Amino acid sequence: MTDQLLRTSPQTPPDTHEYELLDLLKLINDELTVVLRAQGDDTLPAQKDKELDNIGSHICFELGGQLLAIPLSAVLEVGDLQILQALPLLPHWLSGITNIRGEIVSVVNLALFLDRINQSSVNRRPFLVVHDDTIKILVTVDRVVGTRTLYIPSLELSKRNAETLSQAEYFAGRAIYKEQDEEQEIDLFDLHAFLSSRKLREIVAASH
Amino acid sequence: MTAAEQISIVTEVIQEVESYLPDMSSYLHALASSNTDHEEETGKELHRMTHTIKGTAAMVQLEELSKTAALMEDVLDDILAGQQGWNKQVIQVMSNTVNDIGSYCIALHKDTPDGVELYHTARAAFEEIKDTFSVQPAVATELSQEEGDLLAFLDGNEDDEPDDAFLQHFSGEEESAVSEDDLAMLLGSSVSDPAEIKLEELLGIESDDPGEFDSDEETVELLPSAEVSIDQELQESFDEEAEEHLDNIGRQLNELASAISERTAVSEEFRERLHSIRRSVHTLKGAAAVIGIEPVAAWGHDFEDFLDSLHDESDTISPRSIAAMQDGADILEKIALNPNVDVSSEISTLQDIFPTITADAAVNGESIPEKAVPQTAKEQESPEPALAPDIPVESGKETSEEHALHDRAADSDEGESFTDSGPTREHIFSIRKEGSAKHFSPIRIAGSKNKRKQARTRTLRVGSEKIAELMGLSGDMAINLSSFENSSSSMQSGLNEFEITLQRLKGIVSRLETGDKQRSIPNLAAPAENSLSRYGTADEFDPLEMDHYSEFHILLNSLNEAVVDLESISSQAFGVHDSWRLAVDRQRRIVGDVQGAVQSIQMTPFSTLSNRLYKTVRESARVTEKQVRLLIEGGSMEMDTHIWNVLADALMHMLRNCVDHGIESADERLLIDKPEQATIQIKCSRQGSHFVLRLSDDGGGLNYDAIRNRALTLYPETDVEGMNNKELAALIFRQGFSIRPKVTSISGRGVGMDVVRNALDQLNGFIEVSSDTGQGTEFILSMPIAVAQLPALMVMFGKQQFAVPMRDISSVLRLSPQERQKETFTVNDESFPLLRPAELMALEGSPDLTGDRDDCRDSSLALAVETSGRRGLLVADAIIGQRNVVFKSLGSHLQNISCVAGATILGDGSLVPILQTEDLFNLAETAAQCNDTAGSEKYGDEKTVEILIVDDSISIRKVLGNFITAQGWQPTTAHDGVDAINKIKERKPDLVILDIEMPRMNGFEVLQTLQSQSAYRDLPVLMLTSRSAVKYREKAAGLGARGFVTKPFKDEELTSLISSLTTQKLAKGPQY
Repeated sequence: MTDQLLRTSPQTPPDTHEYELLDLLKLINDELTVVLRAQGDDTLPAQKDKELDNIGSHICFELGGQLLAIPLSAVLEVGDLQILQALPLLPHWLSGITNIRGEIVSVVNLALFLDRINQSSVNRRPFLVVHDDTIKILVTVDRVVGTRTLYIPSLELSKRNAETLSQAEYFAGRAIYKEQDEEQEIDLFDLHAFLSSRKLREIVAASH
Repeated sequence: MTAAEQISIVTEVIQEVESYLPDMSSYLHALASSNTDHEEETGKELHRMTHTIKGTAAMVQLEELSKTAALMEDVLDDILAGQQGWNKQVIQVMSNTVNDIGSYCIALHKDTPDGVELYHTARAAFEEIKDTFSVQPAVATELSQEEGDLLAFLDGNEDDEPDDAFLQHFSGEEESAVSEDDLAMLLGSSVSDPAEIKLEELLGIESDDPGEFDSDEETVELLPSAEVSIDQELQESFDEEAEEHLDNIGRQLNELASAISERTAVSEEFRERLHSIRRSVHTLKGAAAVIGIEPVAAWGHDFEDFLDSLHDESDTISPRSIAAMQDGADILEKIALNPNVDVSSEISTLQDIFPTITADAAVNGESIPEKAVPQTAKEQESPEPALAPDIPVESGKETSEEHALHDRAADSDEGESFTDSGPTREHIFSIRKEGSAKHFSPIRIAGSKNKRKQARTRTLRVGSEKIAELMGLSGDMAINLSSFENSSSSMQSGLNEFEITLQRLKGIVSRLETGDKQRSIPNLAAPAENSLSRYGTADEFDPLEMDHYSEFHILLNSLNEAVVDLESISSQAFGVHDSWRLAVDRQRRIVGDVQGAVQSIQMTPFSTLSNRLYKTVRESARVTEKQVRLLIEGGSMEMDTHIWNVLADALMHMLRNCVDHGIESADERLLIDKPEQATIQIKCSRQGSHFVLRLSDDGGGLNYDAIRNRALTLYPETDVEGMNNKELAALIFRQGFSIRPKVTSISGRGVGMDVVRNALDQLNGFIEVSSDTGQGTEFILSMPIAVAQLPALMVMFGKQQFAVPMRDISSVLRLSPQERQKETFTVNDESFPLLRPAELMALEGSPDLTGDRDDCRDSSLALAVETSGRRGLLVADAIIGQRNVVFKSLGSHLQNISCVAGATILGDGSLVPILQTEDLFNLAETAAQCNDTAGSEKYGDEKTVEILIVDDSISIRKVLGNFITAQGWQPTTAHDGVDAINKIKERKPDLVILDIEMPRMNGFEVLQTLQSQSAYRDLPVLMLTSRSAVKYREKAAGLGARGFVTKPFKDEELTSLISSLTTQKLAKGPQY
């Protein structure tokens, strides 16, 4: 799932077929590894429970009581939404448009998009401006927690891949961050899946 | 500037110059010892330093130093351009010069050094070098057999007066390209004043090769096939420079072309323009040579020669000369854009034409009477001094010395006096390739100081994205300022409140004091007991004689002091706030200015477009073999650059059409008594808030018969026969319409005028055409002043503000409440459908949605709109006013949003959607077909859930409404049971959230009423009450409530219940 996360980073081209294929193959390999280990296959290399993969800095935020993370490189701006202009005939999760330094950006209420309970106050709407190569969207969240360096246990990564893929469309697994020498768990928001979702693409057009 | 400041600057300049000298010496030393593998880089460094010395010295009036550096720079220019190589002599002279400059600088620190000697020494030395190298290539190209010997000879005699040796050798060569006369003159000049000879001209003139005697012949030709590989950074830099100079060349040529329709005497103004063109070509040539774009350098050289001759030697100028210059500029542009393009045939043609023009100009110039040559007052007062045959001569090109002079004249406020009192500069000659004939003619280089300054207007290239960013930032500043102003207003209100409270407090304190005093008089003993008795004075003094203080008094005094302190604080706060307010006011003005300035950056004059238009006409005329000239009026009209970009293609299409279709051939024109040369005229003007461009020609006009015949073929279904001329003229804007049977390279595809119409649509403008057969055609293009500025009417639909483009609105009508209820409205016997945007777009606060349609004001307003051939009336809830709004596309973020074309940002940063009127008609049609509110189901399962909140508490209604809105649902409210029933009857919601205890009709009664009517039995009702007892739950369930939640509610519980009730509306059984 690390690879899947990295797909949102600008350094990795998300559109090349070659990359997608490699990504899928790695995923299959990981899943097979999990299954074989569960069946007690001794030929596999020893588990590295304590080994952590650093997956870089992430912006952490709360949404409907859940702590989520988005790669820092995918976030252009963080703030409180001051101006929101609703537009007619839009789905309920698309709150409208706002003005970011003269640029008009569409506003998505992430809680409503994910069918969560929206806990942000009417007066204060923290937001993240997220983007990939083709699109830029402002998403409102319940609370922006801050920046954290996240890690994923090598083995856990594989396990979680299999679990989370079947569980939620917009979650890329779980990671941990260290706070006061304690490891805290956090869910990884799959920005790529979000930005390329059919639901969003129906409404929000590619920017370039 | 004070004398001390001036001295300080001069000292700094000297120090800077001195800092370069050691490096320059070491570079030269490295070159001398062949100790560098980076000859070119070293040369460039030397050039850079020399150039800097030249510029800085000129800046502080160190003329001789500047001129000396200019001499050295000239030679370095040649070396870098490959026109000259490094050798011992060059290096030695440069080393000497560097040393001399060092000595000069040292002397400068002490006293006034002899700068003249510095300059003369350097000049003599550098001219010696130039003499050597200038003549070599001329011979090299002609004396192939003797080339080796000559080179060997020169190499071996670098220090032994190469001029004499060379001339001795050269004098015996009859087949030389340089005639004996030329040589004699050259010799004579050289001997009389070698410093005045600018022999680099010979280099280019004598040989097609701007290059070098030691290069292969192939390298000097334009080689279309040869790939030119240039460093990317250098190329970009060159491209920018080239664009600027080509633009100037084009602009000057256009001015000349507009002003000159027949052979005319070269006025001061014309000569200035020729000079400007020559200067641009010269700079381009030099830049191209430096970075290695050989084709540009080579053609630039030839072209410059021609310009030299026109500028220096011609007293007259003809349209033919201008055409040749335009062709030359076109070639230059082509090879500047793509050095590998094959322009050999064009060059060959022009090289044949150039000599005939110059010869012609010389001949005709003699025949021009003196009085025909316009002279400026200054010229009349100070006639050109006659040139004696032995006057020292210099090149037609501006020498480095002149560059320095120019720089100085432009940069210095003292430039005028410098120009006037400077050395005589009117001695330039050129030796032309074809001509054995020699021309000695004066050149007028010096112009007025103002003109010079204009010519040196400094520009900075900035990417448009940076301007957009700046616009965004300035917008943000305005938003932040608005936010600050709001805070300031709140603070002002707070301070006012504070002041009022303070005054009240003062009043209370005052009353307390007064009351206490009054109270103390009849009962003097009491306070005395508490306070003064302790000191034993109570009995001795009456309270009127001496104040008797109790604890109360002390507290009262403290309170009084506190009030005084508060007054002081309040006063200070008011003062600070006033300062803030003034600062904010100032900032508001500054932000406004910044926004205005940034917007003005995007405004450019029409003349930025004119080069392309002239070229289009020229090219079309060439292809069609017609004689056409283009005149442009109002080229200084400024508009948003985006408008020009959109308009450029459209205008070029129109011009091509004019030339190809509208203008007759020269023969035909002569037959009908029209001037041989046709004229196309473009007039730009401003009419109110619109920019109007009139494009007219004196051609044959529209051929209505041909249009009709073509239309009969293309549109057999249309009544073409019945069309009048105006209707026929409108056909030319249809896609695919062309009367040309054949497609040519310039027209006939039928896309031109269609493109024009589309461009005008894009710019919110329109086009009209009028034409009388045989008399020409006029197109009138009209559009708002700036693209972005869209005239719009700000209208309220429901509670939401929209900007409706004025182009869609034909009039505004007033409707009575009864008329508002109707589906159609009749105006002048024509029936229009009534469209209710608030209802169609399901906007919040629509009286139509909330059922307030009946009790709305006495009358409503309606906008009569027409778009895409459909007409109707838009019912508006309020009209705010007309304003020019800035159109912002939603394109990059949202597309296919029905009814919204874009948005505009208001001054406070808020956004207003711009209505797409056409979509409203579609929406109305869909709604009529589906008998439902269209649009809200546009996204299928995303239909907005409408929830009616029934509660007598306004707070509950508000909190619940906000919560429901936050979840993406649509709340409406009712304040009691009766109100709820009415609302439900008017518009059935998806869910009702119902309180129990309410006036007029309680919740149970509402439930009973709903259950009694079959239409509402399936309406889910969720009870929300503070009554939690079971009996209430049971009663509600018995009356048909589907859910029961007690106050205060939990978000999750309520959300989950609402979700389940609205997604399973038909599910039976309560959700408890």
